[in-house]
Amino acid sequence: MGKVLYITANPKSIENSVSHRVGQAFLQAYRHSHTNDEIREINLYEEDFPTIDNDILNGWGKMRKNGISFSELNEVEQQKINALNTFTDMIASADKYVFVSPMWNWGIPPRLKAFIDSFVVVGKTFHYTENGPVGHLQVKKAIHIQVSGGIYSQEPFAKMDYSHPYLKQVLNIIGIDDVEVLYVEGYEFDLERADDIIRKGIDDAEKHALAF
Amino acid sequence: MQIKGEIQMNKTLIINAHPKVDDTSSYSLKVFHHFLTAYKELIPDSETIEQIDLYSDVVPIVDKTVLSAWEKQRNEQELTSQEKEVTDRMSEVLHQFKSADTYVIVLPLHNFNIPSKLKDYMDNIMIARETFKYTETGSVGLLKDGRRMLVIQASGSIYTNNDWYTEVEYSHKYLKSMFNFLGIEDYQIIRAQGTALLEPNEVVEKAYKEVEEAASRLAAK
Repeated sequence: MGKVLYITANPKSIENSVSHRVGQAFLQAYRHSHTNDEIREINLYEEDFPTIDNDILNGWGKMRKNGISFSELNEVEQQKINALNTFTDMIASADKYVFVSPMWNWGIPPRLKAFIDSFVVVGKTFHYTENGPVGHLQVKKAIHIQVSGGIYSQEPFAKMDYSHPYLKQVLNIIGIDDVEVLYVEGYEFDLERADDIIRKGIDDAEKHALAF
Repeated sequence: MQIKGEIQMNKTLIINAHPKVDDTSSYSLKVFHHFLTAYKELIPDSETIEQIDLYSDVVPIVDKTVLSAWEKQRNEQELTSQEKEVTDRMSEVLHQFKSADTYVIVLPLHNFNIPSKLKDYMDNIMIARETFKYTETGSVGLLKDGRRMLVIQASGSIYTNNDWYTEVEYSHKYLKSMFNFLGIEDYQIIRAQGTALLEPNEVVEKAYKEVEEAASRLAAK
């Protein structure tokens, strides 16, 4: 039995969002083909989760720089760091990750960056060595379904994609080397083909789900 | 020759993207305060400075409410009071940005990219027909009137050795690419870098010198 985390970052409703529709198609096909797996869905725009703030940075700073122990931190710092640790451990305990995100202004939605900062944590999911970071989440895999109005999987605009390459990079850092990508793209610049692009995206998502 | 009808703007906008907001132990904030002191001494009285603290001021996130409000605005429908409140604030944030001609962004580098509130801010200011427009041949920036951008970034590692770290410095690559796209070609980054590897005081001292030079350059116009 595998544990799967399905992470979406789009505030739109399912009917109005291409990324939700493609993501849900993936999920349904995955459920049918992996009946024993446990799937948890997290919509980063619906669910509250611990994020890095002043108290957490201060708490970490005191422990790292000033050699203060956890029990000497103030109550709020302890509470927030505990909540963050529990969340990071929960996320890190999955076997497979499905990320579904729209591209906003050539980058990821801000709540996805906040999620990454709660997941990609030094000492928890990776550590630094002289040769750079080493991830703790090996033998796991991920797929990123990126939905965008324009086309970014190829030139001339591939260099403007600060979204998928970044997510792939941070997943690599924590040890997830196997990162697939499915681009569902271009439907805003070729309105006549929009329905075809979305339908193909749904088909592709179902195919990826069977093999994932 | 084209004559500009606009009044000469002389505003510097400080965009503070540090979650610690005003903590004195932060390296990026230390370097920023050093910059600000030097800059204030050099600028004329006519120059105004405004500051937005992204982690304590209200910077709306693009959420269900905002998306619903945008949809209604497109269809010329009436907004709810909540939708109006949030879109009014977004307009304020956008207009404050547009009203300045010199920008200073202060940020810590977290996971090789900009802090999430700074991405929220980017989503508030990158608005079609306000700061860029769509054309048949792609999007074009609308801020091509000689604005200047200074980014002050602190990081534990070093990003200028042309190695793996240089590759993964998404913060700088993203900000430079976005502001160049909007039309702000005069972009400079000053890094207080390597605080986890080198003697932090030396890192900060080196950055102090660099921001002093930047302050002179920016104050001289």
